[in-house]
Amino acid sequence: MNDRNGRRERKSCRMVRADLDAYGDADGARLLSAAAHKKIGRHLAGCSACRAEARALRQVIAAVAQFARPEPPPALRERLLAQVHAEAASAPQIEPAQLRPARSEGETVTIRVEHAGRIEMRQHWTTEAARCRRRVSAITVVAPASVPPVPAVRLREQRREQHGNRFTLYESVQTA
Amino acid sequence: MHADEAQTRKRDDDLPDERLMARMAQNDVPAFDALFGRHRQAVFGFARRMTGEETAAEDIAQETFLRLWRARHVYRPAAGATLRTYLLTITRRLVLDHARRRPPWACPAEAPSEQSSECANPPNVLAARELAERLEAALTALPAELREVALLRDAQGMRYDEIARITGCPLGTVKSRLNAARLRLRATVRAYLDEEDV
Repeated sequence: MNDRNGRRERKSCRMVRADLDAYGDADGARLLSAAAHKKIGRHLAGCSACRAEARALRQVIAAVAQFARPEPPPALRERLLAQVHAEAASAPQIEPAQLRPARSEGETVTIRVEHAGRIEMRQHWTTEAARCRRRVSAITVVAPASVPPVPAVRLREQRREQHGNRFTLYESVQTA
Repeated sequence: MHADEAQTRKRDDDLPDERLMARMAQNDVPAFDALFGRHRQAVFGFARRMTGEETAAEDIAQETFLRLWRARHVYRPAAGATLRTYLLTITRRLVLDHARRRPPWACPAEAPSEQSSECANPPNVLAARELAERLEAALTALPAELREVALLRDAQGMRYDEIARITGCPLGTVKSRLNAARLRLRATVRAYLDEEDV
C-alpha cells in the first residue's frame, strides 16, 4: 500500500517538475493553465523535494539574468557608421512626397527586388512614361548604388520579368 | 554644436524603434546609430555567448546591423514582432552559419575572466563570482538548441512567443527546451545553490 502511495507521489512529482521552471518564470507561468497552476501550487505545499527544486530553478533563472552583458568594442560602431554613411551618401534622398502611389509620369512606384525567392529590398522608382494608371511601361532608376543598374525595364502589373540573370523584378504598383 | 548633437541623441534615445526605422528608410544615419546603441549589447552578447568567440561575435554583430541598414526599405514587422526579435533572428542565423563553417575540431576560446584580483573580495563575493563562472561554463557546454533558448529567455528577457519566432520552433518546443536547459544548469551548479528549503 505504502509502495503504491510512493509510486503515485513520484509520478505526481514527475508531472509537476515538467512545468516547474515555467511556474517560476513570469512569462512561462502565463502559459500554464489555471488548473496547472493550482495543481502545482497544491503539490508544492505538500512536497518539500519539489519545493527545493522550484527554488533552485528560480535561483538558476536569476543567476543567468544577472550575467554581465558584454559590450562590443567601440571600433565596431565606428566601422558600422563609416559603412552606413558611405551607403547613405550613394543612396538617393527620397522625399516623403515621392512615396505616394504613382499615377503619372515622373511619379514614384514601389518595386520589390527579389533574388532567389527572397525580397532583397523594396525601392522607389520614378516613372518616365505617361501610361501609369494601371500599368507602368518604363521606369527610370532612382535607386541606391547597391541595386544593379537597370536603365529601363518593361513591367506589367502582376507580370514577372527576368532582368539579366541576377534579379527578378516584380512590380507592386499602388494605383489609386 | 556638441550640445545640439547631444540633444538630438537624447531625443533619438526616447523615440520608439518603429519611428527610428521609418527615419532610417529616409537614409537617416543618426537613427541607425540610435538603434545600434539600443540593441548592440543584446546582439553582441547573444553572438558572444553562442559562439564563445569575441572576434566572431563582433563580425556577426557587424553583419546583423548592416543587414538592418540594408533592409531599411523592406522592414515590415509581423504582427507582434519587435525590432529586437528581428535583429536576434538575423544574429541567430549568422551564428548557425558560423557554426557550420567552423571546423569540427575548433573549440570556442573561453573568455578571460575580467577580474583577477580576488584577494580583496569577501568570500560571498568570491562564491557568487565562482557560481557565475561555473554557470557560464555550463551554459557553454549546453547543446546549441538548449543554449539559445536559455540565453534568449533568461539573459535577454525575450518572451516565449518571441523565442519561438526567433528560432522558428513551436511554443511547446521552446518550453521543453527551456526546461531541459534549466535542469542541466541546475544540476551543474547544484553545489553553489542555496539548498535551504522555504
